[in-house]
Amino acid sequence: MKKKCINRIGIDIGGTNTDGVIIDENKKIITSYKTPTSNDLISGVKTVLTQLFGQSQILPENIAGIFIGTTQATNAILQARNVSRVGVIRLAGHNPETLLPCYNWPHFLRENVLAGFVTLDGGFECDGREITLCDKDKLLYATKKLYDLGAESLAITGVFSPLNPAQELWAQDIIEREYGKKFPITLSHIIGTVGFLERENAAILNATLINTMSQAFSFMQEACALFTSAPVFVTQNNGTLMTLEQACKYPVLTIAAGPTNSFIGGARLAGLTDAIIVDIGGTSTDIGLVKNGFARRSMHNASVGDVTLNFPMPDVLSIALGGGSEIVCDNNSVSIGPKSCARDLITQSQIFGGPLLTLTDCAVKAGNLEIPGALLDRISVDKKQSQKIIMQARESIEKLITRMAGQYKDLPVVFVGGGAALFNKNLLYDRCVIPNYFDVANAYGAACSRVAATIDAVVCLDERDRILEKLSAQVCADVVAKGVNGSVSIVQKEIIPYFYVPGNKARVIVTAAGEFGFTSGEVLDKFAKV
Amino acid sequence: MNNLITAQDIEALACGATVLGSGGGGSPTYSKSIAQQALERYGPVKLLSCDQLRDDDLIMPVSMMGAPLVALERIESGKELPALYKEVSRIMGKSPTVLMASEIGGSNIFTPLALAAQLQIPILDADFIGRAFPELHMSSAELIGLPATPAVLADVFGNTVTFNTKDGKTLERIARAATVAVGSDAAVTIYVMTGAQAKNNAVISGSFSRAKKIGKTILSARTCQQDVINVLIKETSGVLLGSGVITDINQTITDGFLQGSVTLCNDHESIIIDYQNEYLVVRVNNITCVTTPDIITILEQDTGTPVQSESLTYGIRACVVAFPAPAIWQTSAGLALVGPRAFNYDFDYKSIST
Repeated sequence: MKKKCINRIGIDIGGTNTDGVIIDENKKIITSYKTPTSNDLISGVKTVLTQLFGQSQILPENIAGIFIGTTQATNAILQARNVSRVGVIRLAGHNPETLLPCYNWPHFLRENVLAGFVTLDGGFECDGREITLCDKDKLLYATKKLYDLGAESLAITGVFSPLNPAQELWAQDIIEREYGKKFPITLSHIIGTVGFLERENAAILNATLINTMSQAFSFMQEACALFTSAPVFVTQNNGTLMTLEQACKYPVLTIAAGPTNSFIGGARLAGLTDAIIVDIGGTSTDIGLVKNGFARRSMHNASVGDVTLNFPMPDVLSIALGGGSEIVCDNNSVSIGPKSCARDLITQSQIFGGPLLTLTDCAVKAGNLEIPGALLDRISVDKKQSQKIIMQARESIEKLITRMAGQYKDLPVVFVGGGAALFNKNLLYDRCVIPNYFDVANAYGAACSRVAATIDAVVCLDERDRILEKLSAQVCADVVAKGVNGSVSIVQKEIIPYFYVPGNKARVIVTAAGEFGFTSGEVLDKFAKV
Repeated sequence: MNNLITAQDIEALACGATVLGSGGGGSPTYSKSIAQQALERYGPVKLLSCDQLRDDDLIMPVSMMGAPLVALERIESGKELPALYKEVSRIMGKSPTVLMASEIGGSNIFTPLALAAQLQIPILDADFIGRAFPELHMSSAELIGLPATPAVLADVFGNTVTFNTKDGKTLERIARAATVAVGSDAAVTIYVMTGAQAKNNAVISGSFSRAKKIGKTILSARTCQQDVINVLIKETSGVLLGSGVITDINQTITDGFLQGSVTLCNDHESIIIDYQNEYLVVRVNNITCVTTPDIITILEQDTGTPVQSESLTYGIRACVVAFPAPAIWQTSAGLALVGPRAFNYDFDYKSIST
């Protein structure tokens, strides 16, 4: 009998909470659950899965896939926690001493991440010549040196490797022949584009995350396997899916998945394709813009933990304001945040008998929010003051909404995230909505992730339009071959011209994505193999 | 007056230089970091005004030439400028006593800083252009007839080539070919001159301070959460031409130059700006209102961040602000070199100040 895999599970593992949803073939939420994120990550995931299956009575064999979004990679970098020490190799025969690896990183991050670096012969000129010829013995000697310095992972960046990856691939091969799989190796051309330092940064971040994240992803898969044999996928920055195997190799590509999922999920929950999304969490609020169902890309170089990168990231405005934000009243002025007791709200905030006045306390006192058992008389401000504080928080958020909206002044504004409830009865304007399931928008966004395919080819641009059209058609066909039925669209098109090589050549990278199909179990198996 | 350039000035200089670049001159992202590290390591550099020059000072003007893309990928090795300095010292029989940025607009404002910091010699508060232009002979020194050569080019390995040509235009052609041969990014020194020559109108005086002032104005207005564009046009000679959202970008790469046009729209106007690396012509509702050599900038509305032609993106909300060209370019000889007709337009210079 053919399996009937029509349901999907979305899980978001955030810094404060782990959320989950089960959706049906029409992307309707059947059930949802939310629990605090556990230190081991896994017990929270197990709790969520137990509750989802228990509440919904959906059978494990009906699940087509489990889609996981997580901010673990971001948090690891922001706190420099559980990161591996990285040996950095530059293939750059001209020996660029002016800007060394990690030179402008935050000090504590560099101290925790950079084991050492070497600059070796190699690299390409823009016309395709080698800058200098690579040398096998020097590469092995350098690898030994980095190993002695404590490197646990390697990042290799060659000049103009996005135009010609041959030397990076050669270096990986030589090192693996000598050392086996002792070091995970990250090659820069797979992650970033032209712009040496940003690409090197991305490769180093990936290398530092690779051990801890591949372990975390494996544990997640084991936890999921206790419940269902459905395949596990991870959502990446652009809102599309990676296989677990890809995610283990390229964890840096999951680094902005959190905001992307909440923006796309929030818009979909409200039934909108164009909207401003305000995601209010325990500690901070992220604001983004969804256009035609996609999170708008940032036009500036993205950065994570003050490290600049050059791959596409969603446009996000953030403010340190959330449900756990601590309120300090001082004569006539009130400050909200940036300190927050988000994870300890249940013990620290006044409504639960704790010492700290938080934004949640004020929302309860102001009458916006009802929490069963809340100790109203413990709150140190009166109703009028509470309402004033909530107004002040509203105004801070409103300023950012105006900035994000720009010309799109009339777009609806969707509030999501656990903290959205603070404003439940106190919406900013008519065009604001708080959709059902607002507090699991992230997990819902993960469950709605799209399937993507990429073509990366060197072509002649003499008939530019015709060639781009052909590549686009081909990549769309690849997406359909992965089991997508319905509309497929191009989500990224990048053209890197080979300026000084005869023949008007360029490297073209085209990515297309489409809605996940719900036909049969075969589809996902097929995707997992591609 | 002893004027110092410190590491704290770098951000303002980068911002101001990008404004003066008129959309071109290359992104200062990497060059500013190189300068910053040098200033932190070796200490501040003295900024010399033209009237502080001694007649027998030897001034070495420097810039990087080539493809901006290459500068972002094959990072400078740090051998380029010392090689120029050594070769110029050898040819001239004495060491340069002052360095100068040949081009103030864009990335090149920072080109002399690392070497100046390392050698502890001053930088001249001047340049040859007052903005950015694509070719070496588009220079105030060419206008007053100063010889462009002996000129020297150095690559990432410190290889040097010395040129002796009949004029600046010939130098441009040969040096361009040499630049391509060394991987399309090289350091050059041209119009090496004495203090006496510099004081005799070979340079555009005060360029460095001008970049710093514009940058400081934008950054401090941003910090104080003021309306950046408003403050900028009040505090400088800039004039607001209009604002809107970038709705169309139409560009091609021809002979290594980025050519195209960008459209900004608001409710009642469409503003079209043509560019060839630099922004050259502004049309509001199809009427030409400003042309090269006036300095044309596109600034992001909220932050006042200048947007270069190579990083134009759809959907940016931006203002168009123009600054009058340095006086030397408004002369008939100046316009022949860098006016609209020099960029193949069939109309004359239209100034923001008329």
